[in-house]
Amino acid sequence: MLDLLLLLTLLAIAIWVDSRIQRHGRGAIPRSAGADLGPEAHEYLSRVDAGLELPARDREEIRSELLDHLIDSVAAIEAEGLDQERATREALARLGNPGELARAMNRAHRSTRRLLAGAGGGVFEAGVGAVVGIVFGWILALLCVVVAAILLTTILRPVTDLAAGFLPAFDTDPNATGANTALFAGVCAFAAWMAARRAVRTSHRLSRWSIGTVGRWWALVGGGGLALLVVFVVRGQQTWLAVPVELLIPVAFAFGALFKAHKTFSYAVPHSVLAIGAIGALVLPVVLLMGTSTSAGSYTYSYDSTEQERAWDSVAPAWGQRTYPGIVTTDTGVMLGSPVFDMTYTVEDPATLAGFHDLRFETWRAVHYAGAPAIAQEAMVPDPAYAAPYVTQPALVQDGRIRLHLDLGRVRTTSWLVFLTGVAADGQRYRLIRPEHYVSTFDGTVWEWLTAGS
Amino acid sequence: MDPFDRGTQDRVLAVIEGDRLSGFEAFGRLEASDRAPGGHGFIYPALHRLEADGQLRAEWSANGSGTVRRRYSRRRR
Repeated sequence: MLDLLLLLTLLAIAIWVDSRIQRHGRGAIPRSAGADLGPEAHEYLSRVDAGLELPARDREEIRSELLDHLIDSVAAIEAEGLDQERATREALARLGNPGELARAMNRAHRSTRRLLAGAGGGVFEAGVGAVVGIVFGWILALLCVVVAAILLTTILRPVTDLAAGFLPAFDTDPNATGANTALFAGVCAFAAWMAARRAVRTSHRLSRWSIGTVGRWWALVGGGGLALLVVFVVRGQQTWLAVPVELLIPVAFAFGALFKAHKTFSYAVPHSVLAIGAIGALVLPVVLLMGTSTSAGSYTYSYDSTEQERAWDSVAPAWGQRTYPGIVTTDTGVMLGSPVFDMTYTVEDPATLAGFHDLRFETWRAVHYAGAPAIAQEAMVPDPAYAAPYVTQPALVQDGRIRLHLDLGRVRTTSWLVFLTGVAADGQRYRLIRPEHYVSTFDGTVWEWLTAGS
Repeated sequence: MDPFDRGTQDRVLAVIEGDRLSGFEAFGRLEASDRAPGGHGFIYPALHRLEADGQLRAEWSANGSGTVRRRYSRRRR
């Protein structure tokens, strides 16, 4: 809540400062009344204007100033006895070649002082654009999530049931899942696009360099800097869904800097959009409630786990009965969405456990059990693509407890089955507990993700 | 003459010193003092560069007869 208030305050300050900057020096440019110097003069002024690579206001000002100059010049020449047509021609000749004049005017406006102002102003406006983009991006993203949720719980329900295991799981905890990273990266990409557009426009206006040149510089420096930041510096929970979206951030910035940066959006919202938003705000919660209430109890499922347990037997056969007689029980609950697992097991039957030696935890990459519906996320079996566990660790009994510490933060695989095994008197290794299914996360940079093992 | 030449710009600054002149008026003063460097066109790049460098201030204002022109004056530091 505090974060939201802070963000909204920042947004309000940014928009206020921005509007002050935009208004500064924006007075009307006077136009000389009654000055009709004929088509030749206007053709000359249009040719000068065509050669100017300056912001619209500067171009307008130069045109007015040159027109005034021509009016004064023609009047002075007429006073010497020439008619207006010849006087105009003479005045134009004295001003010189329009193309050369335009080039000189472009150069005149591009001073080092203005270049520095353009760079500084551009950086400030990029910040304003980023804040505005983050706020509007979140609103847009949340709207998309809500609409998707409504569709998936109503008319797209059959698709949801089929693909439940593969849909990204967003969470209210911002650090909970890689899907959240992807969502936030999407919002950042939108903000980067807005930031680039504002930066380019402001740098162009203040420095007087052409918008194309300014855009290329911003794309190179800003987009390149963002790319380095996103790939090598920013850490987050990475997934194959999040990484491409994160890489979109510098691309969106470069795109915003290079394409149509001169086009502005108004803060004013059409009444029709406001009306649709208001209706949506009233109707959406009702539809959402209906969607969630109708879903209650509909996700029941069952499956034959015989094949699943046979897959576990490929690791080691179960000791004794398949129901596991409670030699060891899990002390703490299964933790989801963390790169590090610290689990404690309590030895319930020390006498039976004493019959096993070389106790060890085997952590296997897990895949979904094909015989179970996709929604049954706990139905996991060892990945048949691997003949050995990812890691084995000795399981030491201390004070009636066995502790497991697993760091899975540097491997792209996120689904694991952990087996506790031991060698019995017959020399055979057995599973001693039902395997635990762990879901880990990859917490690092995009580069670490791309170069990590699977 | 090069409007970006330091000497040219110093001459333009000298004729504007203590006054508020339009480009046409500034050129007239240069011409009157026999320091006009050829065509009229050079005066605007010179004035705009001096304005961009912060040495001149420009504003649209009327003279005694009410004619509105973009006039330049020295900026005090």
